[in-house]
Amino acid sequence: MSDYVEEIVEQPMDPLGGASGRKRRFRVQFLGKENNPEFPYTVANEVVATYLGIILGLNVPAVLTYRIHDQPLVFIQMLDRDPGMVQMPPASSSSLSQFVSENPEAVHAAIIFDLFVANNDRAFGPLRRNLALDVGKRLFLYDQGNACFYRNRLQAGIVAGIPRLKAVARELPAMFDMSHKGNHYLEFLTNWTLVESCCQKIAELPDFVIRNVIERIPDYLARPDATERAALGEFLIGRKGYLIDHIIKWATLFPELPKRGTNG
Amino acid sequence: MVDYRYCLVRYVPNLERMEPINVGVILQGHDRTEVRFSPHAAKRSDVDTAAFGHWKKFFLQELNADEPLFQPPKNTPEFLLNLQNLAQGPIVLSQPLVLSAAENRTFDEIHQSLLQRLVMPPDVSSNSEDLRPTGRFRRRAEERNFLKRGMKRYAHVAVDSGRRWIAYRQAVNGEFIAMDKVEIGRELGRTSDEIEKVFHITDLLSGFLGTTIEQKPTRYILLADHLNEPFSEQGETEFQAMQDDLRLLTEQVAKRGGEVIRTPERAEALADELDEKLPVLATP
Repeated sequence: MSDYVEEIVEQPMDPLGGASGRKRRFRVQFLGKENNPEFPYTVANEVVATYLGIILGLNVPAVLTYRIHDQPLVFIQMLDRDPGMVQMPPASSSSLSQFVSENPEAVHAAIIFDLFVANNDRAFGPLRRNLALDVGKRLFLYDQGNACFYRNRLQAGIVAGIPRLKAVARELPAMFDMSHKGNHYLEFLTNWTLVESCCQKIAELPDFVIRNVIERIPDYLARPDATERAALGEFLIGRKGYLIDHIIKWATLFPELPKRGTNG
Repeated sequence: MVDYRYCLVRYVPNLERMEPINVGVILQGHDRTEVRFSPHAAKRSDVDTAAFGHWKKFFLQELNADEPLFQPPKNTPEFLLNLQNLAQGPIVLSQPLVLSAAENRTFDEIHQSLLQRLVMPPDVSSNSEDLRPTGRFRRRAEERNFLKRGMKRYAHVAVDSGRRWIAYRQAVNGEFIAMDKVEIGRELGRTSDEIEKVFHITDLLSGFLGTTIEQKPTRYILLADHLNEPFSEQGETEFQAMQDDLRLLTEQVAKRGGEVIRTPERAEALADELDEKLPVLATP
């Protein structure tokens, strides 16, 4: 059927019937990720950022949590493509460039989402990082493993977990420790009206939704512990309110964003 | 010595078996990064011709794009690594490899040599016809079914309903292209006739290139081999005279606005260009 979806063909006597539509079984391929000492919060980061992305209407892969021999995992659904497209190349640089210029709403929504969940691991170029155009030519955002609690980067003075949340809550520039890579992402924030509407959408997220999303982090996961989960809730609930102020305050991080009030 | 980087372009018919076939080479050096594909790859039964065509187009787009925000500079190792990351599925790229070459070897020579050594089937790489522009073009035209795809052979070139000459090949797609050749094969008489014929055509070029045919701009191409040694029945004086004729001929064609192709690499590029422009066969 495709690289990642395979149907399990049932025998006539298989009891798969039911009264809620025609039922069929499939094997669907997921990528499994787990925590390790360098990346102690990968599972939690993926779960929380993905559910928030879905709620905000972004095109992100489905995630499942699972345990194999007491090892917690997060399963991330592989970007599936139309069966007719599995042999096709990805979007060329020119196509991606065209998409960015023609779809500022989608691009702004993605960047503001990443600012909200404190994810610094995405770029349109020069090396494409964790984004693609799917078969419907929609922006697809995958790999949220470096959002929220992030990971330990001692060289950059970053301690994953609550210290990272606190640092980012204090100042927006604390999110960005990868400028040496020369990634192009933040410069595609160009329109204050879109920035404000995306931030407004995030600000309208009810607190209980954020808490419930954090509840989706499996309780058998040692990290984050209860204190860290509470801190993440406090961080996100606070951040949805002050995100726009941070962007205004540190607008120089976004070189193509005009002086506020000059557009939109 | 000059260092070049190259990646093999590989087609994987079955990802589970992972038995890749080398189908092309990307070469980087001297501020250039270019790709060449084996003309035989798409004809293999285990290669999905349509998918392979899309990937070829993708690589050519990446190599021709001017998108500094969306791709690394083309002369850097990162550019190759980026392509390597993007190539997943039936096409994969090898790790970038380094080749040190003598300074007097051109980029095109090295690229062609890598293609022949690492990609082309052995029986094809040794074919001497491929070393001449006329032979290379003919071979590619046959492999890619140019005649079945609309290229005409030995057809009259007509301008304003007047027949001017019989061109070796004609292709119409965006442009009206007329081509002739001077082939240094085995027959002295045929080569002499071709030189005489093209001398005659040079007088007609201004009338041809200054107009449109079928509402398309016109273009003239001469494929001319090099005369490196005399024919077996040719004396030294006649050999020198024929070399002079050939030089004068190519100069005149170029001066009157025609294109002169004298290397197999440029003939290959012309075949690639026509391959892109000519309609695809409905059934292979």
